Amino acid sequence: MENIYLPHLTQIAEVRRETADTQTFVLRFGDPEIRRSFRFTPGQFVEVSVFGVGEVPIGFASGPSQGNGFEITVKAMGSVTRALHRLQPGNWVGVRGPFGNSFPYEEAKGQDILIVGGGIGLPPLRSLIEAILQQRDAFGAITILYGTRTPQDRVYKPELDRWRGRGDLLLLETVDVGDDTWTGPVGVVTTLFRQVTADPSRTIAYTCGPPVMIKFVIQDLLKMGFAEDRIVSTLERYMKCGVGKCGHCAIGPKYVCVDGPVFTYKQIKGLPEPP
Amino acid sequence: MQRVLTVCPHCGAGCGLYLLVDRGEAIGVMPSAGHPVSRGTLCMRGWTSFQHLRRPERLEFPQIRLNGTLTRVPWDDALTFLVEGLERVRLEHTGGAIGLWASGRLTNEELLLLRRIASEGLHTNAVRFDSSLHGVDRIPAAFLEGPKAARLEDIQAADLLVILGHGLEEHHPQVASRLLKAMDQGTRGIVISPRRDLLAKPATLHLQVAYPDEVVLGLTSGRAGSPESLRRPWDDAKSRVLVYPLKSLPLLRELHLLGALESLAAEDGTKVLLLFPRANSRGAFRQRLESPQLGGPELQALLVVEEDPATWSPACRQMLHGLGFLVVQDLFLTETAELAHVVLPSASFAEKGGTFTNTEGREQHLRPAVLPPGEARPGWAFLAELARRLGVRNVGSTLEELRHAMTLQQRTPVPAARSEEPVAVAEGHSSLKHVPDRLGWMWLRDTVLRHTDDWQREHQDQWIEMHPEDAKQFGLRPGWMVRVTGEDGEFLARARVSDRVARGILVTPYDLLEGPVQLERAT
Amino acid sequence: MDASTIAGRVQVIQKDAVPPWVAAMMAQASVIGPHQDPDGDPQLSSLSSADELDLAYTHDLLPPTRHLLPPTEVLFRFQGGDGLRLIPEYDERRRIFFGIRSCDVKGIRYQEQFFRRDFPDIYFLTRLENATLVSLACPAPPLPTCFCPCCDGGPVLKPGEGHDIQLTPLQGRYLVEVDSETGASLVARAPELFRDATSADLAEREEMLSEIDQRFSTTAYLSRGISKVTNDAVPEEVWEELAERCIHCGGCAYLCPFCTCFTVSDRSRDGQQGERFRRWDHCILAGFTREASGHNPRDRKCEQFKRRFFHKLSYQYMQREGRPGCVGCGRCLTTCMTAVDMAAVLMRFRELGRKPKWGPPWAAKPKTSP
Repeated sequence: MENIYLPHLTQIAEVRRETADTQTFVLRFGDPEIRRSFRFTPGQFVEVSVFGVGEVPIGFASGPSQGNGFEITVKAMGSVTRALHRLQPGNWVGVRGPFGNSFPYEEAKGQDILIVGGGIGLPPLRSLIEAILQQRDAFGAITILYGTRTPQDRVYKPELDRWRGRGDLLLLETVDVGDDTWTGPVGVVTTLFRQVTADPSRTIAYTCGPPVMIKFVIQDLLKMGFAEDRIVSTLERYMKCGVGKCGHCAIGPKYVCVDGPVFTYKQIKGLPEPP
Repeated sequence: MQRVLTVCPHCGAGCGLYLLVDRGEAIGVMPSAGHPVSRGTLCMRGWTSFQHLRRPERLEFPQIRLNGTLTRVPWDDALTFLVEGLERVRLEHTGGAIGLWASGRLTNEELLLLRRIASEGLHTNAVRFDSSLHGVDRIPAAFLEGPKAARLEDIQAADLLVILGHGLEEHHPQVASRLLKAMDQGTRGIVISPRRDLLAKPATLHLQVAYPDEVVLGLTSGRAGSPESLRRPWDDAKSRVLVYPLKSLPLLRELHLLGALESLAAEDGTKVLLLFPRANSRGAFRQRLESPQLGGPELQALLVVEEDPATWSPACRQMLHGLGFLVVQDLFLTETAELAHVVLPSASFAEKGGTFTNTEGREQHLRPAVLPPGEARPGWAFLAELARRLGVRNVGSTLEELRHAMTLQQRTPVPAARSEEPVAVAEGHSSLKHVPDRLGWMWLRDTVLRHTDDWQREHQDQWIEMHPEDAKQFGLRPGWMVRVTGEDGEFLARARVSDRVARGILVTPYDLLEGPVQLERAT
Repeated sequence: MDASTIAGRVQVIQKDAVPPWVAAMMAQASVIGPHQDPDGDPQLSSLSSADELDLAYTHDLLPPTRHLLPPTEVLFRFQGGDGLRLIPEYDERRRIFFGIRSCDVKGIRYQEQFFRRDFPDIYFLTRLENATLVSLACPAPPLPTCFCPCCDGGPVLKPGEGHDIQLTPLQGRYLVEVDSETGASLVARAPELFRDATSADLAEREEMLSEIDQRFSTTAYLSRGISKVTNDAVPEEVWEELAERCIHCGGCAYLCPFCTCFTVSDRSRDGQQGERFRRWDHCILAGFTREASGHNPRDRKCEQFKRRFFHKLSYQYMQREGRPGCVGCGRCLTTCMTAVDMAAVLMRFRELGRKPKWGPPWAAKPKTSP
């Protein structure tokens, strides 16, 4: 029987600073067999251990078939994430997973994709975007909307430029508060909807970000005519074990770590407790 | 998994609990179903009482401050250094320049040793046993023993319960549980307190006042100053139990209240259930020495056992800084220990034997279930050795011998009440009466609880509580961090706004702030 | 006589033959059986001799599930320095639980189902694999706090409910029903102590079963409670009134045979070596759902309290695991300091619309006629 609580030793191969409090870590398993066979899908997460401090759940931020390792993007918020931020390439952490369910996107083939991200919600969406772009031709129009509080809070600056430069998708960005370097639009991310023409009957919308942002994004999507099961988001909850045993992430009869973290708006609405 | 029956080390109820031990480690706790106090129940402190035992920051080795840094040394060296330090102070000043402070969690055997060290070893009476009892020099003997002294089972039999004070469910949950269940089953209950807490709801009457002592005083002076709603049930009842948690009022009010309770208890059918705050507060009270004002300029050295006076107030911390010689024995490196010249590792309640006296006067045995970590020693073992080295004679070297010595000890005479000039009891801010939750403050600063995982998780904030109208008046919103400033200092707490508190009352956990307080939002 | 011919047969053992049988078992494994503590609490603990066996045992306040899922346990140790190593610890000690109640067996089997689902929990399952369950049926409630019949919690187990052997007390003897190969091998340790059950034995058992309804409280408040909760038919004020009384001691969760929640922490002196351990946790504590940012989706006492009952009576149990999350063992009734245990809460639901009358339901006057 596998021990689901025992992490795999994983080495930090690279660290990239995204913002003042956010870093991206490239992780590689120590065991070559695991390195070779490890697979995950966008939307899933891993439990990352800094031994002696604790463990935190973090969503995959890289596309699914990058082979040799994967990326996570972490904001320093509590004791474990702050300890993680102090680590350097070459240091070892523990990884358990992949856990959770995935963004449904196979079923979106032949349809249009609308992705709305806010702040630290972009990392799991990046995994989804990379997966979709690997099979670009299988999908219709792709629109990505990204909003942050200030230009300094934007993550994946090089990727954003790369996506914008592709020409086969529409990327629009906004910030709540500009500065003298910012020449783009200013306003909350929902203001970008004005520039988007989506056919709700053949588009799937995926959104991740702060709870307040998600609330307003979903409101606007519904107004635009999106059906409740064509709006996909993620639920946040304090998670511990990641495998549906410790009870912390339970909402009603669902465990966010096993039945989620990806849920359609229809499923979220059906929950007996508020998300 | 073995079970070892022992006593909870936290409040004065003395619940019987089993430590669950597996492969030499205490892995959990469960209540004793047959124990007369716990009867199968435990509060959160009891259930989590094992969690501090294996914390990695437990002190394990004796340390001496050399060149400013605490350095590990063997026990023998630490004791030699300690005795030399104390002797030096005694020679340069007097024995009275050495003080002893001990917590209400120490066993009777440990307290007796400290008492003997004070009187026979150091010849000092600068002694404070159980800071939670500070200032309480006189408790009427009738409340401790005899027909007027209530025990827990008297709650069930009474036809009137008068509960003086709020927050019993937090500070004395076992007693609150008994009171609640009695009232559920029809016993009349009168709660006199500033806040509508758990017991106020099922009570027949809740007199919501800032200071219960004023109401009780009214009841004694020929009933004239007492409301009809209180007088009638009082007179109708045949058997009454008055419940008062010590330390729940500011000191002077408490002394007045105890006087009032004494005259009420003289009436037929009336008993008083005085609630001692800590596991062995009653034992500490019994062992206490009459002590002068402590912490004055003449104090040069201090031995502190399982107390953390540096957290009491800035003035206290200042005083400790100025001491020539400070010695601490404790389980963790407390704020006081960080200032000390000698730090000694202590065994916890689960790692030693001894006795606690609960609030009813019931003497109960601790049973060691696991070994202390590293070289930590029970307080009694260290104190017995220290006593011997200070020249105290006939000190036992085993727990049995110490216990035997205790039974031979004369009963401590109750010192006469000190007459003091009445100090004007300053009211709070012009529109708010400040009700300090002294017991809440005591728990917040408790060393063991600060190192108990679940307790820390659940008590991340300090709270002040006020009525919504008052909050509006001060421009405060629920959840805001507030700076509370008084004459003696200031502290930060989160604002809780609820109508449990009457208008015009501010409940804060801060013990030492008396007098007018200012409130403002902290950023 | 081999094990296979014994399985499925109903046999009888005399009361005074039980200690020698237990002594035979003790040669192979630790027997955790009923034993009167000199300090007074009945408990199930590891016997050092078969003479310690106390067959007048009622029930242990600590449910046997806590032997399989202890209050704290180390998941693994880690050692740094030259090459990080993780060393898990598994508990493979063999245990024979002797004399546990039907409600306890149901608790263990529920927990097995829970811990096997999706991602099997190797720690619990390792202990369970090495555990044998010999249960003791209850002809009458061992304690006044028992209310198992209305919760599908007992007092007698049917074949296939997960016990290895069920003992049913009759006059001077026990009926022995073997329900597994493991159970059969236990009988085979001392086959001379057993004889086949006669029709007289079985008739005595039938008579005992027919009296159960009268001996146990027959109030079916659990099913009504479940429907009230599932239909969200309990007004918010009632939840508030109940939640206000709760003092968050945690006892109801720690002593419940169906409670499994835990939290995980690391401890280390120097950051180089240490342990990851788990300890029991419960959903009525405010910190149970608090996130690193400080945000708490369930930050009102009422919501935390409600969660426990919805979880047990509806969400988890009815919707996921297929049975109510309560077996009526009555432990929460004993340990609740403020009378908001399962029975009190269910009784309160029954009174909806009527003025609440608090008090332990088991203190009600006995029925005058059947």
